[in-house]
Amino acid sequence: MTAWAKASESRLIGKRLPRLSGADKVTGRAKYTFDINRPGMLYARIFRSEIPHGMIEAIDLSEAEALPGVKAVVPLIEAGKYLRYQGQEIAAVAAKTDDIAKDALRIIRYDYQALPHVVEVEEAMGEYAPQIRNDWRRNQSKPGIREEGNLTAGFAQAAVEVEATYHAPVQTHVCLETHGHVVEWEGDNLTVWASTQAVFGTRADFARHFDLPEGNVRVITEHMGGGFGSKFSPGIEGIAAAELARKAGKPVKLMLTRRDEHLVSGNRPSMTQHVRAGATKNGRLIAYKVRGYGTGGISGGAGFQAPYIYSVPNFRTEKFNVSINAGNARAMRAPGHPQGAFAMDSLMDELAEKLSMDPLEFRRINDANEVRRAQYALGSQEIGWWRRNKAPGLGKGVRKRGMGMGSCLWGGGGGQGTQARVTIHADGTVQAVTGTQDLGTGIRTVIAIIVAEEFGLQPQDIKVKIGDSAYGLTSGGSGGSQTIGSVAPVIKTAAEAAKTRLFERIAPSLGANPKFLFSTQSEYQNSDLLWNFNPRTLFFDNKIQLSENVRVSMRKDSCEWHIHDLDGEQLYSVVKDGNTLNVYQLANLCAKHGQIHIESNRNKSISWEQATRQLGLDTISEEGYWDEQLRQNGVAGTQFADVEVDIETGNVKVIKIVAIQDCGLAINRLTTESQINGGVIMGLGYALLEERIMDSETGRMINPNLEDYKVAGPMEIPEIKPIVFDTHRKITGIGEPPTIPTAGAIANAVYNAAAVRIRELPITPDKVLRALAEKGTF
Amino acid sequence: MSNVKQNDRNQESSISRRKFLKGVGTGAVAATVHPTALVKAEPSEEIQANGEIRHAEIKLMINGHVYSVEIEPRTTLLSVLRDGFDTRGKRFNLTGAKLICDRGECGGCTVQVDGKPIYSCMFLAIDAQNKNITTVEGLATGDRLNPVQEAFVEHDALMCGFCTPGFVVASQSLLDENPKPTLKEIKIALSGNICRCGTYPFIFEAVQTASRKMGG
Repeated sequence: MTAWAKASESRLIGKRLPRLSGADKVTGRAKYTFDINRPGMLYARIFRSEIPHGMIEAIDLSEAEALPGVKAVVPLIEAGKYLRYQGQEIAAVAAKTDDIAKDALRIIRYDYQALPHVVEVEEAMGEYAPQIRNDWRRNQSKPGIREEGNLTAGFAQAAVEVEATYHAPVQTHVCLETHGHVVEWEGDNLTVWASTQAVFGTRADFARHFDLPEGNVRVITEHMGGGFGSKFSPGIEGIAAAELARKAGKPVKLMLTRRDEHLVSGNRPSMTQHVRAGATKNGRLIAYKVRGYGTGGISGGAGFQAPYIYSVPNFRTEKFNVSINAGNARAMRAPGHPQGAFAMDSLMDELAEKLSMDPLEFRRINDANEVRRAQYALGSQEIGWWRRNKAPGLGKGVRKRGMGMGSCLWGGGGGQGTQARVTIHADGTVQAVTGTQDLGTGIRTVIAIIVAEEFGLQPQDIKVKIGDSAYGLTSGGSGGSQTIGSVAPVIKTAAEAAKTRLFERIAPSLGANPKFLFSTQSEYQNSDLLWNFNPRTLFFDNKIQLSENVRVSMRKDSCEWHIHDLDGEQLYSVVKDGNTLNVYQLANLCAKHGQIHIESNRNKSISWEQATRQLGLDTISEEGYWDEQLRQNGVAGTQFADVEVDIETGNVKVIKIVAIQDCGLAINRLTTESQINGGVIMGLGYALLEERIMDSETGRMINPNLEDYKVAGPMEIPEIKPIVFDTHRKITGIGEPPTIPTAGAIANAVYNAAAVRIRELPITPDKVLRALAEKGTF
Repeated sequence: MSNVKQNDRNQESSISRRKFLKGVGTGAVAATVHPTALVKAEPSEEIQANGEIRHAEIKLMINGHVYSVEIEPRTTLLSVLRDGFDTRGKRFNLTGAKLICDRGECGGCTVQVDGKPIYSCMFLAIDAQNKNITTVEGLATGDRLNPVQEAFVEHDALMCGFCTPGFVVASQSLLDENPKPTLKEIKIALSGNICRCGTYPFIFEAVQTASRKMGG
């Protein structure tokens, strides 16, 4: 059993340290899947459907196959099958150059029977909509219903009520590195460079599809350009790349285009919620009812959190999916939470207003979470909540300021399944190896920090090897903010074990003064023990101190004694040498600043290299284990937004966001702040800018590019104050939670500024102006 | 697609593709190039017997070295850097500039041409002749990062890093022209670059630090 030292007592943990991959990334040396160039490599593209709904009658690949420079073509669908959204895969082509592959796509022909389509959710639910799924009546899945308490009684007790509809659109991931792979066969061995969040999951998928032993497949992801939840499997494009490579007998690179990426590589489903809620005159949420739905394309996945972090004794939630002819959903950064939080936080403010209560106060009444309550206090100070409009829309002039808040919860504790190994070489070099992948989270640097802290070295001294299944050490996919909770404990215990082995080896060279804790009573633990012994008859090199209770056990034929405290934790090993036992209490040795010395006597020290040189031809290599006490599941966060609304243009400008995120023990404070900033910025995009727009007539996406699908750019960035809220000494993952509260905070701030409640994301100028006009304040 | 015929008829209102390429090539294109054999235009001696498009050999100066490359007129500068070979068969492998949107929207492909930042995905290789091309790979000196690069690493102005080369080149270009930019000027200058991970706040700090380090 082990624990993290406090950040205040650590050299490296909890500090702001630069990323190890920084130099490679700023020089262009870092190679992503998109950058891999293999000898003889072909470039592949996918031919996609431009119709939203139809049945394939025939596909003609002959002209494409005959085009000079084309080396392989594979169909990805066959006659008689259905095309169910724009972008669906029809065929894949591999050619000598990317330009030739593009040329080939232009001469693929297919015949189809067009079918009626529907791409708007409300339309799909209507009685005249075409049925696009056999199993869903009116394109709706069977609702999931949860109920507690008694709604009628609850509403009867309500002093105020709010009835409202909230809406958020489909949001796409916009990974800057599109999905894709470079695939190379060698006999029946397959090497795949993948832009993936799941090296081992991808290996399993390729192995299964091509009926190969998993050991024949190697997946490599040294660097990858963003996943946000969409990159967990090879997808149709990965398998197509491997089929093309096999057919052509050459390596193949198949990366999606930006257009493909918007159409088919996943999205956050939309959300429409019809809510009715009531609160007592004392501000307690007493009744809550929601009927909500959204679209995840043809498939499902359109859930949302409700009533989220707020407790309400009487509630009913009804949720279902609506199917439309559009690309399918995939998990996107905190699935279900940003949409749920936006609606819930807006609702809370609306209820508070009816009670003439400060929304912050209203939340205190309804949120018992101790951490978040502390965050409310801190955040309101930081943003200057006392300066907030006492009534919405106050203030002269055209540019009105306002403040709002939003909150979140998340898990992030990680779990079993990671294997990691730390190796110390005789030349002093250190390696830390595990199967995880770094999507930009900074886990690579976190691993180095943990090992370096343990060994008294610097992070740059640790060679971290991740993102390659050939290392043979598995780890799970990077999703659910699970990575650090799954990986860090195993790395720490591996480092500790390696350090223990090293100390055992070198203690004699330091003449370490053994302090041996021993008792007059010894208990024999198990049947392995075959000796009786009286500790007092043992001879030691140096002084013995008798104190605490311990248990002593020894295996037959072994020279090792194991001494445990009464909880069963091993204190140290003792090596028997003739009649004497040389005892080294490891706590007596200390590794710091590249030196190893005796704790009580710094003059007795040797350098790290001098120590490791004593290994001679040996290497120390230890695997770790997952200790669940090293990580914590469950984090809370809250954000406060200060915005300016121009009531003439309808433009919303975010001035400042204070983002307080419970991060457990933050190993690297700098990269943790980056995650918070990043989450807030994606949340800002969700609040003000991003929306997949479908054209009803043609059934196509109007904005599958980066000029009309707007992600936040430099001009939209407010002052962001990320606050790493340390609550406890256990680590936890925070990739997702910082993106959750932002939209609610901004929407509430807009109301406070301009006195118009926008219940539909993104909050674009036209919506603000329309609301102002309807109110008559325009 | 009957551009060729149509344009020949309307000489003053449009430039035929043949003429456009002649002009653009400043004489370096050995022969004009037809649209691909896919188009049922008049066959011509310029199209080789097997229908392949004629290539042109041009010289490009990249990061201080001159290379000969064989390209099609439609080849972009980005494509040459990332996927191209010189005529001796050596791959450039200059994969710092990234292909992200392929339509001049995101800045991931930013390189400098004659000291000015451009989107290399929207820049024809044939237009890059006789110009000084600097990619992100040309900024560091051996293993030593330049002040902008150092500042990016120090401030964690990067996460996944895919947009980073574009931002580094754009930031360098800003400081080359305006050594003491205000925060607003930094935002405007970098507004041609997109980051999805959300590193902007630390990028702005990095540029400010680099500016100070460079004596701005």
